[in-house]
Amino acid sequence: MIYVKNLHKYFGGLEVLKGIDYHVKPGTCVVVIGPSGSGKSTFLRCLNRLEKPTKGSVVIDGVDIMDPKTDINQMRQKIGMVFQQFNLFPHKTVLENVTLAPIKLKRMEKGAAQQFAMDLLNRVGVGDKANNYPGQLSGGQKQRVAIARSLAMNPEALLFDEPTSALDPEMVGEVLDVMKKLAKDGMTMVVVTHEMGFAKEVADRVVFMDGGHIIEEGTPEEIFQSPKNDRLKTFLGKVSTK
Amino acid sequence: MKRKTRLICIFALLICFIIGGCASQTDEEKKIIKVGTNAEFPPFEYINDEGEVDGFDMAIMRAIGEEMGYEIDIVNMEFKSLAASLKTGALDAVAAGMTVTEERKQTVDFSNSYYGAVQSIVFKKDRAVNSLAELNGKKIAVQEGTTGDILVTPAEDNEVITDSSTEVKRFKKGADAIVELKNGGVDAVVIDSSPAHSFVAANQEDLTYLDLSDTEEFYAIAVGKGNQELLDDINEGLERIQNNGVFDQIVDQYINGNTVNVRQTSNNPIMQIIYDCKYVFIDTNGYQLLLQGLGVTIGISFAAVCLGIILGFVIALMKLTETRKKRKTVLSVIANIYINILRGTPVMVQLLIMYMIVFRSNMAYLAAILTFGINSGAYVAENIRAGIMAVDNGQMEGGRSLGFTYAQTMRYIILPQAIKNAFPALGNEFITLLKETSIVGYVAIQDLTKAADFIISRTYEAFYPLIAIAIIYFILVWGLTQLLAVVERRMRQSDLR
Repeated sequence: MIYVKNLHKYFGGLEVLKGIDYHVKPGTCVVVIGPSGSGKSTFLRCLNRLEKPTKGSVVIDGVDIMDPKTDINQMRQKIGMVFQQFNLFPHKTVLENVTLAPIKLKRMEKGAAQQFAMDLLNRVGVGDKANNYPGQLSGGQKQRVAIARSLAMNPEALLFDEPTSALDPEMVGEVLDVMKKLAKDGMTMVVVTHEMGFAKEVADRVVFMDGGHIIEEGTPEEIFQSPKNDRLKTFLGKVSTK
Repeated sequence: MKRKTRLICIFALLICFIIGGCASQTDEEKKIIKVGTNAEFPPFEYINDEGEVDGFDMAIMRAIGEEMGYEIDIVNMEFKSLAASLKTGALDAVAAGMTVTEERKQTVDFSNSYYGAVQSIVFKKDRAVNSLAELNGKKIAVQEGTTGDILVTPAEDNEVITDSSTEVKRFKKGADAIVELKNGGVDAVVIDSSPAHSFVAANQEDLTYLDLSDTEEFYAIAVGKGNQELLDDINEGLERIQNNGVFDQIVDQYINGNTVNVRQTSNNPIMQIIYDCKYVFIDTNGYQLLLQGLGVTIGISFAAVCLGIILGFVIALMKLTETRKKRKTVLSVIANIYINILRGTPVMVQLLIMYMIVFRSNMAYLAAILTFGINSGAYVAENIRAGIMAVDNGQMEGGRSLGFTYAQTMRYIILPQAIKNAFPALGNEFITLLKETSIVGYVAIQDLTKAADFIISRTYEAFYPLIAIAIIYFILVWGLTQLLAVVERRMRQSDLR
């Protein structure tokens, strides 16, 4: 579904991605792990061109998003994104946050959009907060609203950029539970995270990145039980893998 | 073929000119002449109870216009700007009690004189002045640029006032000079005899005057240098009205029959205040001037705020293209030039340029609205830009990741938050703008401040009208503040926690 070929990204003179090749198969949950500065967030943000790759190609459903003729806004409707800082719209209620894009971009009728939004909010367990403003929610609730917001566009894939890193520890669980459910329902997901437990339990594939390269890739068992690369071993030694 | 067309065009134009020339001689299509004056010189020119420019000179000009088939359009401006406006062509003629002097003859042409006047010294009854020479070393108030000014200013060729310590205070209006005298700021006022007599008549209880018989001089109508055709017409018109008795009627009406409102006095200070207020605001129609001025101030401010908001948004978005593209763009350079020029020059100068140069002294209201709108736009733009920059970058990413374009994200997500951020600063800007409009009097617009000015020149009372407009401005700003607070509270609803 998502084919990444020879992806390079420079920030000024600094090469952050040094040639990434990867294929995300439909319906799989890919978890990207690696030390800070390894380029994993940049890699994720290149997939919907929030960062413009310097070189290489990203082909989604047969469309190269690097092609200047591609309507990137159209493509982004198919790939939702969930951010570390939630990026909810503070001037709109929870319900408006979720319905804004379907109404404005899909020309969905307001009533239908609201009904769909309520379904989604109930699914992520914040239906009772529909008329509150983001400022009135806890971090965990905010992130679940953000997930509902990206689901409202019926995306074919979801990108998660460290979705639990800004949360208080007791709220991490509720967000991961929602993500687990999504994965079980067959959503194509690419998740950058430090939650090794989530990677072990939910991921179909785990990718280890370091220094702008993919160092190792495999099933959770392969990565966590029998890591081959020394850098991966060192990394796993440093992080709690519970 | 082309040459033929051109010839036909030239012919058509010539015919138009000839027909036009004939038409202007008949009474059907009156030629408009713009006559400048400075309505601060009673009884020759002043603002009457209806708030219009009136006076001896105006009546003379209208009578001449009647005789010679001109329509008279009166423009009220500063006395010292009159000659310059003739030069630029903004005015056709000046009727402002202007004395014929050799110096002025260098820049304008004068008609035959229609009135002879002497200079007068106005002073307080308890401090008698018996000759001009007695004013040596004293403080003297004059109207800027008038004969009186020349007479009392120590200079090499001034034989009477020789003491260089003589202090001359120059006012834009004769009435202001009189107010200064009444307040004790000067010892005497030197001014043309007719206004001097009017001023004293209105302040009989404490002022008197001395006519300086050896200073006789003559008033005449001025036209632009070399405008012989108009000069001839004015001279002929003047002669006709002097022969048919109209001129004498005007003299009777404006100079001999000068009536003065009587003001009541009382020993009780509170009653005195009430009588004063009645005189200043009711007997002399001051309240009407204030109401008209209030309407003008609100109208100009409102229109300018609207224009400023629209321009501000456009300029802010133009400037933001630089942030988005991470390099200078044509639009951002234009926006920067706009902002720098408008913030770098006084709004007063901008107003004068707009009115005198761009509009050639026409359509003062439009010139004022445009000036304040364009000026405000620069400040609004920076406020809005600051508001946009204060919105977290994640908001743009959040919007873009959903599939919104840059413009859509701006409109639905960034701008609503940016306006909320910028609102206190914008409110400040609107309040400043409202108060800044008080300078429109310089382009002859009768706003609230100018209304107070008129009341002062008609009643010689500075206290009541100035306090009155101060209170009115305060109420306006206070009301605006309350309104802005309500709007801001509504916008802040989403901040509830």
